[in-house]
Amino acid sequence: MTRLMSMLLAGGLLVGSALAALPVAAMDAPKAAGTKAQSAKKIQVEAPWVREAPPGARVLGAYMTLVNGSEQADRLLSVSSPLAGEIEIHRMTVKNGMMDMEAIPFLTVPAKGEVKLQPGGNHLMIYGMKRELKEGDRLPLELKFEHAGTLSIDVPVRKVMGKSSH
Amino acid sequence: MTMTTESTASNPRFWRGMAFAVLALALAVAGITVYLKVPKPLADLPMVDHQGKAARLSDYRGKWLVVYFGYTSCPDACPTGLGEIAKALKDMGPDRSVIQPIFVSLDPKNDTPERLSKYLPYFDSAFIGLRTEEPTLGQVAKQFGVTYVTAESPKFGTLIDHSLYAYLVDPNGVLRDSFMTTFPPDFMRKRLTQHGWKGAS
Repeated sequence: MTRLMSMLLAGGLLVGSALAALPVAAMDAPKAAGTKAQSAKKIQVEAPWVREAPPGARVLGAYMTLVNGSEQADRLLSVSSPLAGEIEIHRMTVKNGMMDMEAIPFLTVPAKGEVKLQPGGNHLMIYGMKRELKEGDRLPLELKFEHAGTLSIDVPVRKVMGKSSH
Repeated sequence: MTMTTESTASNPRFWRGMAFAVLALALAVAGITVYLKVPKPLADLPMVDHQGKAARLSDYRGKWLVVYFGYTSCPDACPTGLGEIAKALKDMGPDRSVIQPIFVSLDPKNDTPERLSKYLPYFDSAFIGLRTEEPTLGQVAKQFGVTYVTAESPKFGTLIDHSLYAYLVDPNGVLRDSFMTTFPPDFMRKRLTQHGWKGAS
């Protein structure tokens, strides 16, 4: 084997292993965040988190990215948790510095697209908690979709100041 | 939409309705396009702090005030905004000693001094909570240019749509500036400096 060939082979192996590692890493990320029982074609829940409630607060906000891998638009119809009384899907927009927040009956996730639930925007409002959640706790959520069915996720509670921890 | 033009146009109730709709729209547009004229001296209105003591903005003269209007049952906007203010204060180190963060409750019915005194230190121990009933609350909010709409939901209780600004008041009680609470790091310090704030020195 010439030196050139062995270099090419080594390079090929490196690229190959990097490529092989990529999908694993991509699948590990949502799994680490507590997602399970999903097929790649349907809805993926990425980076879900619940904001730790300040003492005395009656409500919690939950955030995540819903990724739709299918060719068909889907709709998040409802969310529930054995630890919460009620969960509403809230649309929040900001117009001239004034918030406009309302409960919406469903949230559309476009085909081959995604919807972000994030601080200062759309979010899940969780009300009537049966116990106080602190950072490190996990909140089980059931997300019911029109086509993808019901996804069960386990959402970490995080103490985050402001929009993000940075 | 189907409409029999003749019968609608000749109906005086239709035109009265139209007049109201036009007026409402004009007011709504005026309401959202009114912007804050600064510098603006603030009237000194009576409120109560999170310890239940009588308080006025003039009690904090000599310090710069960072004021936020919200309510403790707010699911998203207030924890986000208060968190950003708290982070900005923390980043200022010793310079923050000449800044007083203030939270004015838009929900005096539910935000008792007890609730405010539990809620606010979570963000920053320096926060002072102020509450007052209507119509004084409306007067306080108006002079800052704060708008808020309160709705009662049978399931969730009080929900309030409100302005998402932080307000800077100088040590003489003059409103100097306002900015969205989704500001980037170091933004608050820059704005304070623009208005002549010199830190703790």
